[in-house]
Amino acid sequence: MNNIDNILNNYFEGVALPEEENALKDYFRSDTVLPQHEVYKPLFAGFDKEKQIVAPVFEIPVAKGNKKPALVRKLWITAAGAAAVILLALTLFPYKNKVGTPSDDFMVFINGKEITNPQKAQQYADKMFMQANEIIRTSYEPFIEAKAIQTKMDADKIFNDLSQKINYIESINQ
Amino acid sequence: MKKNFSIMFMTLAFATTLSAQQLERLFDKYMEDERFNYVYQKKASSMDRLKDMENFDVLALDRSTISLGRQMLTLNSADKSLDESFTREVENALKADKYEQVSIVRNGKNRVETYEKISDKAIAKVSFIKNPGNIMVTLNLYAPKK
Repeated sequence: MNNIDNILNNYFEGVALPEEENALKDYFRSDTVLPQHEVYKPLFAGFDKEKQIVAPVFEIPVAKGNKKPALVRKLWITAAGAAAVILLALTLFPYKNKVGTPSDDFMVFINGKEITNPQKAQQYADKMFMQANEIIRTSYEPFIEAKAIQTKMDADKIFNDLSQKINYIESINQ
Repeated sequence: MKKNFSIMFMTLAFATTLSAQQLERLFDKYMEDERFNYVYQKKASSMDRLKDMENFDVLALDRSTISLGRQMLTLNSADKSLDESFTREVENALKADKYEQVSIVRNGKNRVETYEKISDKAIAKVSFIKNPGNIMVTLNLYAPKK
C-alpha cells in the first residue's frame, strides 16, 4: 500500500523508474485497486489506450477531376500565355541569343567544322583574336623598348637639354 | 543551307567592302579546310581597335576606330611543306593586293609582319604571324576617317 503511494508520488514528481511505472500500470489494470486510488484509475487506463494509437497513414491527395481553384487556374493561364509568347519570339527571332548578339556577328570554323552556337563562337573568336594580339604585343615589346631608349639617346635632344641648362646657369650668373 | 547562305552573305559583304581581293579569296579558300581554324567578327569594338593600336600603330591615333570587320585564319600544322606553301600564298596575295609592309619583328622563333593598305573605302591592316608549326593571318578593316 505504502509502496503504491510512494511510487505514485515518484510518478507525479516525474522521478519514477520504468519498472515502477510498469508496476503502477499492472496495479491499476487489476481488480485490487484500493478505493483511495480509484481517482487515478482513469488516468492510468489511458496507458492501455496509448498502445492502441497508431500513427495515421499520410496519403497524398489524388487530384480529382479538372476543377482547380480560380486563382490557380488564372496562374496557369498566365504562365501558359507567357510560355507561348517566349516560344513565338524564339521562333520569329532565332538568330538572337541571350545577350542579343546576332549569330552572324561571328563566324568560327575549327578544323573545318563550324561552331553554330553564337555564344561559343563569340568566346572562341575573342580568345583567338586576343591570342594573336598577345603574340604581336610580346613581339613588339623589344621594339618599343628600343624606341624608348633611342628617344632618350637622341643626340639633338641631349644637346638641346644641355644648352638649355647652360643658358639657365649663365642667366643666373649674370 | 543556312550555313551556305551565311558564308555567301559574309563573302559578299566583305567583297563589296574591299572588292574581292586576293587575301579575301585566301580566307574563303581555307575557312572550311580541316587543317585550318577560321574566325570572323563582323565588327570589332573600339576597345579591340585600341588594343590593335597599342601594338604597333601608336602613331596612328588620328585614324578611325570604326571597325568594318576582322577575320583570322590559323594553320596549326607539323607539315613543313604545307607551312611553306601557305606562307607563299599569303605573301603572293599581299603582293597582288598591293599591301605596304609596315613592320617586321622577330622575337625568338616567332616572326610578326604587319601590312597596311589605305583606300577610299577602307583601311586594311594585316598581321602575319609565323611560329614554327603555327601560322596566323589576321585582317582588320576600318572605315577611313572623314
